[in-house]
Amino acid sequence: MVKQAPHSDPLSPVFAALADPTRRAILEKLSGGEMPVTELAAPFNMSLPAISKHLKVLERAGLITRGREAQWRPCKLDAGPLKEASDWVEHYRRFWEASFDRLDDYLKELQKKEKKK
Amino acid sequence: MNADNTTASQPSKDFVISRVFDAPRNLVWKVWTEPEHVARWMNPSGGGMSFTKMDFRAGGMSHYCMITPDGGEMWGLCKYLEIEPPKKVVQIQSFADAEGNITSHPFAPTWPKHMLSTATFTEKDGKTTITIVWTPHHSTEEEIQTFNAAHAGMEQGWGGSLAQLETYLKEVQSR
Repeated sequence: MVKQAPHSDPLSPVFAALADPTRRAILEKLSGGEMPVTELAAPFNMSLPAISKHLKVLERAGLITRGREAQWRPCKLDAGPLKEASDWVEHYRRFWEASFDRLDDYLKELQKKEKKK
Repeated sequence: MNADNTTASQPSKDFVISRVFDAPRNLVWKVWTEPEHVARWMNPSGGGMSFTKMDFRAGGMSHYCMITPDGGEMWGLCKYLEIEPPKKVVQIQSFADAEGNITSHPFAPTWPKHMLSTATFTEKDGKTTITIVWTPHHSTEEEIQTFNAAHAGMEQGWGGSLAQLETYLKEVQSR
């Protein structure tokens, strides 16, 4: 197999990050605005180190940024990569929705012709 | 079919899309399987589609090209595993180049290279339901992860949260 540079494709870490339900829930929470880790972790039945691990994955994927201060490190959603990923995912679903629309029209057209005969 | 019981130990989830068409199954089957008909509807942009090869039988292959809205070419390759007229087609689908070599997804390099797609056709009261189930085929872990993440985005939990995120994204962009 040809070995590729790791993450030559910027969306791969984004998809990997989104594959986990806890991380998606974290992003959803952050869509309300920036928030310190302790507050972010509160609704999850998880230790702080476990939450920190998830945050690291999100940070590496460029989905969140974190403040510099040692104690108070608020997490903030970075919308850019998320938008790219959701656009792309939408693209795939839309492809089939659009094909089905066209198939529907085409079937109607064929049946109309059939009736006229 | 419930994907909620899927855990990390289960390698991949299925992606399902289904629609009811107001036409008898025999007609739907014809339009789904004969290239001159397929070319009329399959390309979502309406840019047309041509087949360089279409061998519609179990073990056969098709090689086709769709014209994208910007005038580009998008090639695909299909291997038919199982054909049961007018009920079912099982095929392996891949992106390809003009020579028929399998390539990665043009927009997402870690998308599974081979997708197993099962289309089933059922008829009720003169209407036909088409259901397509996709699942990664002989894929790497990275490909399966990409597929599962995309699936999560498409099918699960996102509804409300995605709408929320969209609002947020618009807000951010308008700043």
